[in-house]
Amino acid sequence: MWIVRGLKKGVITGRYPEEVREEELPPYVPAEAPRKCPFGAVRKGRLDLSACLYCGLCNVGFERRTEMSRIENPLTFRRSLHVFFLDVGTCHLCNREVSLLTGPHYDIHRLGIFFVPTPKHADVLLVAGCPTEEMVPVLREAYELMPEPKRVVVMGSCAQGAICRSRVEDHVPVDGYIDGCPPSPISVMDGLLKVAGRSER
Amino acid sequence: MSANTNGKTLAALFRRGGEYVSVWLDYGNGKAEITIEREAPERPIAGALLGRTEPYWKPSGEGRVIRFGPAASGLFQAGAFDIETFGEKILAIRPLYDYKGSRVLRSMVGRKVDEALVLLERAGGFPVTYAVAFARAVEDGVSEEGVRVRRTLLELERLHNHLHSVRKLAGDASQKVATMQFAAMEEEVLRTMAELTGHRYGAGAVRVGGFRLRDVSALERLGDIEREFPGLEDELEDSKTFLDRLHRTCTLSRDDVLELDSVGLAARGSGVPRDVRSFDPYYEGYRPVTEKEGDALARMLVMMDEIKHSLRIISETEIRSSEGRQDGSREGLHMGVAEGPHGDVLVLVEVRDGRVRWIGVRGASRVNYVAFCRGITGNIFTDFPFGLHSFGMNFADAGLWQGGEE
Repeated sequence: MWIVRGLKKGVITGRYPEEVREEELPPYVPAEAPRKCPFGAVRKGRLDLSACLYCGLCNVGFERRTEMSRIENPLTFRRSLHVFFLDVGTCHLCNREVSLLTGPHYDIHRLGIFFVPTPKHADVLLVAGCPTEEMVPVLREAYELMPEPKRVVVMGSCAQGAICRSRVEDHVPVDGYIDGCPPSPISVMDGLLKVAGRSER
Repeated sequence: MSANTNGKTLAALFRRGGEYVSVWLDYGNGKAEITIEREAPERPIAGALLGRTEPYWKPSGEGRVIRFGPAASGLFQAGAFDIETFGEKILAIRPLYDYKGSRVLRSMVGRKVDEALVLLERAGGFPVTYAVAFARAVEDGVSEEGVRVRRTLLELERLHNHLHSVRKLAGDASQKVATMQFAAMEEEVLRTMAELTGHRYGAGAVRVGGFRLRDVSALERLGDIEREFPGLEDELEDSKTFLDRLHRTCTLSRDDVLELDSVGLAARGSGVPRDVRSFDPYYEGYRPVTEKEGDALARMLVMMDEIKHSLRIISETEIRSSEGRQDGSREGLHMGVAEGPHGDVLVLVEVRDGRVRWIGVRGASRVNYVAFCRGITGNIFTDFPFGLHSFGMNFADAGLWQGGEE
């Protein structure tokens, strides 16, 4: 019986943000700035994570890291957050990671964060991928349809312009960035809590 | 020629210098043939391979045409379908591939092969399959250990993708506990992959001529899934309300598969054993899993059996080292192919002076979305997600690109 199987499995949901387990963190963050990067992620000796593909070609040591998001303009309300996810040209891995947020390991609903099927009901537009010509008008329309106050958070290196012709912020105002290729579910949760103004642990 | 796989299929079709480059593949014996002609071959799948889906659009005129996608349709990805309907029944349907565009692949041209591989891993949602297909095309060879590592990585990728597809199918039928159980296993495989390779989807593990891993002991984590999966499989396949949603939904006949040169899950679910692993030197004596019914249930049963095969292959493969490299990429125009979770990925690439000069990529989704549309025609809207998720494909894999220096 399914219910027995469910009970036998026990609680497997992580306790983020109260605590985070090592295996939940993104596994591939360079521990130091490499001397050079073929994809332009090293500028004046500094590593720009927004341009990093986490490919390992630079051969520096890697680490797991918690802080993978930067939110510049968080919302001030302290209530549940409604998110519309928009793929503007991903390789599909960002989609996979977002889909796992509602799975049992992360269960983002416990944090009062919900995905909605239309931008008309969204506080946050979560955008992933290289904006393609065909998706740019869709991105703009989704942004226009959102009620105020609204925020745009981009996830992944592609959406921030790495190896792509344009960035999401070339087309709509962006309030926050989540790094990774793809960003791990925990990184996305961290970014969404920050944009909701609920990042205190 | 193999009677079971029906001989040569048109596996890929590219435009180059005003000519059509056709790749013909016989899945019965693995023989590939490349022809270059001024005209595209007269084969029903030729349109889709070139990115055109108008040839498959045959509206009856009885209904209205709606565009389903690309943002708020529930597809959850940048893709769309044109659907003719009068409210419930799907009268005609075709996929639209352009929303994904060419994205990162254009920037592969002129890159060193190891850099190009990194970009290709970020193209179609199946990083290991893409990397293996590309590496095979451009490398001189790989060690025995490299073969074992790649086989393990390919099967891990199949494992988490199949678990993902079954999770989606269970979710479509509101089987909440099953959905969460399969999502838990999917996440567990991704964490295994992360420990093994340093990337949750295995990017960076396959290198041209070699491989690089982090912690080979990570594979021990799969033991829990090996123990849990059979019980979950029995439970799910015993749920009549669930199976009813899949049975006779989105049915593809064997003739449909042969006519449309369908591959992967689409072919195997209809009794056509097209599977690159059956002739792949990475796999010795692999026999493809097939079902005959051709419906969404048949494709799910293929996935369920393949999950068990993947677990067995991984457990029987011993990996001893975390890094291995054999120097040298080869020059010229070469082809590589690998069987991904959904079907095969084929890469045709020309390398000169160690850099990519021209590349064409065909993911199985480009072919199989057409098969899905054939199968779902005549079904009703509520059948749509069951049909779609039984193919395990995505629009990034369908919307790939070809081009370079002419």
